[in-house]
Amino acid sequence: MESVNIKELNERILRESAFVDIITMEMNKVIVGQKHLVENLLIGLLADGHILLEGMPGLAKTLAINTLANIVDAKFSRIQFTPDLLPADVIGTMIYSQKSEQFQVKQGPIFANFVLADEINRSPAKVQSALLEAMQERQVTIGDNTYKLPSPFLVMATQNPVEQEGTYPLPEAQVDRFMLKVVVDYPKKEEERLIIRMHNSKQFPKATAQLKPEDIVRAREVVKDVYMDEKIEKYIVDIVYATRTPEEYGLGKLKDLIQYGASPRASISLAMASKAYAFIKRRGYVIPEDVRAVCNEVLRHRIGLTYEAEAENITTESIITDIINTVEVP
Amino acid sequence: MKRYSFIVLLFALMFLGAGVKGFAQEQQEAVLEIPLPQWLQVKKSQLSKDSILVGEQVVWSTQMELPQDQELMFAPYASVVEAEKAPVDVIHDIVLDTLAIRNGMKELEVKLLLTSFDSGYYKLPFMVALTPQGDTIYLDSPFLDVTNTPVDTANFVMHPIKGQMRYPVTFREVLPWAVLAIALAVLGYLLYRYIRHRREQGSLFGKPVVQDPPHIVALRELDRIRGEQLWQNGEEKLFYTGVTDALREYIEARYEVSAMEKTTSEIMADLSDKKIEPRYYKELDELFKTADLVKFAKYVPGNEENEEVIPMAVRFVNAAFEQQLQEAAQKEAAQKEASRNEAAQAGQNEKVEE
Repeated sequence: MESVNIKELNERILRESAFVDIITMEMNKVIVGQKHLVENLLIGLLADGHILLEGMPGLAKTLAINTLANIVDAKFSRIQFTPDLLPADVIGTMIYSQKSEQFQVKQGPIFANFVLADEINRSPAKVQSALLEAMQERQVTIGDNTYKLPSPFLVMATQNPVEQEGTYPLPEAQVDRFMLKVVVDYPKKEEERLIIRMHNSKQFPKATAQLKPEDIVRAREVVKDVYMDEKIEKYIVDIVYATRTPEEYGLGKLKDLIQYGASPRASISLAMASKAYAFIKRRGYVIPEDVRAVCNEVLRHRIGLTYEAEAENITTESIITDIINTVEVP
Repeated sequence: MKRYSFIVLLFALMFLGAGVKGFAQEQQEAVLEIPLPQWLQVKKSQLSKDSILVGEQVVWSTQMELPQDQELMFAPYASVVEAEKAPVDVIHDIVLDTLAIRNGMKELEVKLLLTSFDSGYYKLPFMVALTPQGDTIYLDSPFLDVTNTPVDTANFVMHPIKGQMRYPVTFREVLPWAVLAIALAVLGYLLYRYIRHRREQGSLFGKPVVQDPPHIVALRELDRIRGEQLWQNGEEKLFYTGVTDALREYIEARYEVSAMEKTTSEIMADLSDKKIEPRYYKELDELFKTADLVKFAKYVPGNEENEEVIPMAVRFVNAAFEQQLQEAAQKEAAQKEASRNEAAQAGQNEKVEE
């Protein structure tokens, strides 16, 4: 049996995860509250997974992503998705140069480490598709040439649950490419008071660059090394399977509420996100708590509800809660 | 004389039905010329419709006037039709009605309901009546035109045969079935409850199953794990999994915390308000955390640590059981105290009333 020295593993994680505190501190300078949002941004960053943020306007979604880009000192670009946006506006295009009498490649804003796709559901499917294709392949083809996207490459898309008129909701297959879907909630009363004070002060705090993109790439390697026991793997598979065949887990009542369950990509994402969460918690191994902590964010956009569920106002969150409370913890 | 005439008339009517067949046929040609008697005047004889479709019904009504003391006995029209082999069917035979009596005269009306299933233009057979004097009277009949449904062969379109029409089921029809279904459902449910109850009692297919209390089950399981000597053979993971599973099952039964579906921190959080002695609570926390390390982090504890696991688990189970006994004793004492107070209060009230 391969023996892992738990002390050594934990010490290594402690050493490598020191920057987590720095990022959190810098984020807290600018973002008041929203610990859940900050934590999930870190998970996405470390697990190499794209993030979809959903919340009402004015909840600091864009600010949080902007701040994270500032802290990492990485190339950041923001694309405001509008109904008239074209795929070329995102990935780039060929422009004819009269001077050189040749077509030149003009790379689009997607060539950045952090891409903020603001209000992604405001653009038609062809633009969403172009972005999501790049997210999956991590490369873009313009003309005859294929260009690799920089590393780390992280897309953080936002959408708000209101004002659905004139929007193009992301199809299930596209939304599955986001590792996490984070629902941003309103701040608490005390936090909101602090936000007012902060904005009324003479100088709005700004995060400073503390890390290089290479640090993130190195940290991602360490995250991959975080030990995941086969019991945890089985636990993850059980949770994902329970979304597909709930009746096999004593959840027959959910059978008519779920149209389709989570994909194998969900299992991969759940495993990676759990590892990243364990890393943030300075652990070199994954425990069931880690899986449960990221379960909602990983699965909520991957479970399709039936009309019956929608009619009864049942959310994917409540289904996930039922599953977590029923599947046996190893 | 009158009496004699009446008897003759009766006999005549009795034979009229049987004999009318041959009689009518033979006489038909002749009667055409026989005029009506002077005292009888037919005022109206007409059909409700001159022309009918095949199968349609038509009323033939005849009104006549005759002296008040004169009688007429009509032969059944169906027998006339049968004798004549006329292509009409009698739906309702002769109905005789007196419409009016005035100035020594009476006005009669005879009605018939007829139909025909053969198309054509027919003269209906005569209506036959007898007088008390024994004379036979033939009342003239109208013509009837029986037509088919006209078919426009130029524009005729064949339609498929219509399906059988189903009338809506009435509540009365459904009621017996509904009652039967409900009765069967109730019967089935009662049977299910009975079988389940008997099975739980173990008396349906065997001896009653006596369930051991949770602490006995847990201690027995811990003893079994100790006997297997798992950690001594390098099976630490199996050893810790067995011990924690036994404890989680015990916690579930003892404290009603769904420990099998909860993580270590969640179990400990749920147990924090169960008034467990801090020493045992801390030991359990340590045990679970070590087990997590072994189960999920390939941690290999030392022998001393492994040796302590079963005694720690046993101590926790015993302590929890003792706590259970104490709680039961306290509850009992409190109940006794309450009933004693109630009795004392009742005694005081009685004294006050006296």
